Amino acid sequence: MLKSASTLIRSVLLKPQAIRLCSSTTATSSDDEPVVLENNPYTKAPRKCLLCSTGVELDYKNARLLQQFVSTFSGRVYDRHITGLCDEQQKKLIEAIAKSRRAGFMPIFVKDPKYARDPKLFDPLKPIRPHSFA
Amino acid sequence: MPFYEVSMITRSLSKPDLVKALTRAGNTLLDHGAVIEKVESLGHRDLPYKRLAKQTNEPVYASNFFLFKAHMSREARQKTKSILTHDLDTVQVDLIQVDTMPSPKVECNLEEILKSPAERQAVRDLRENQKMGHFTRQMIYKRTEKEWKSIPKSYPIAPPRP
Repeated sequence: MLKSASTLIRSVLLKPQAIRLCSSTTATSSDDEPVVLENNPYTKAPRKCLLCSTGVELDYKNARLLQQFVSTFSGRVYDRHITGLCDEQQKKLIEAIAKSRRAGFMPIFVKDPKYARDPKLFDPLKPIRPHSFA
Repeated sequence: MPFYEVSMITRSLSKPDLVKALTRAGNTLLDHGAVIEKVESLGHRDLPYKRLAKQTNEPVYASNFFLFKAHMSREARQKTKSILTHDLDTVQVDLIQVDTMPSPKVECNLEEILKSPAERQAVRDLRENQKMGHFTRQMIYKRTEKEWKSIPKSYPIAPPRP
């Protein structure tokens, strides 16, 4: 049994024409050749930051949203390696916070204690990078 | 004529006084050639911090927030800002310019940020355009020279003849 199988394999390897399936044809058809894809279908979609993926617009009048990006301890805006925002959104965030503070919608030195228990958008102890410049 | 949002925080006022203060503010804007699109009330809210009303020095903890959406010239903005901030009924006034032009769509570059520094384009640019001192350049040259010299170029013992 084993011997017959090995001989069969050898005959196939040596002479590919020796065995022929009933469906296959002698001429090489173009639709039977391996397909070469232009791009990998298994590539993951690029990850997006919180504001880009949700489509939330930052507004200086929405002080409650802006204060979610402000530290409870120091009252300062978290840097981009902690907030996990892209460069554009972080720039917009800083501008919006400056406008909001200037218009008197937001405290300047602290985070409003009313909003201290708001849901956390990120963990300041687990930044995406060790430093914003790293 | 740029588009401005005039945010106005009044001191605590009775309803008739509030109406008076608002009409006064609106009239000042109109007198300086502003075109008011909309007037909104953002409600009676707590202030982010304690303010003092002018002249009376009454503490203001919560008050009415208003928003005028208006088109006006830059000179009118300067003048109305100084007039409104010196009004005795206002606690805080700010005129903030809003871009009416649609901003170009910018792609999110979080994926780029999450890459390691060696693969990041920004770091590569920095490295290529980096200015290097003479000493650093010498050090790098010597280190590469040393590495190159440590690679054996010939066998210490000749291989046997074929």
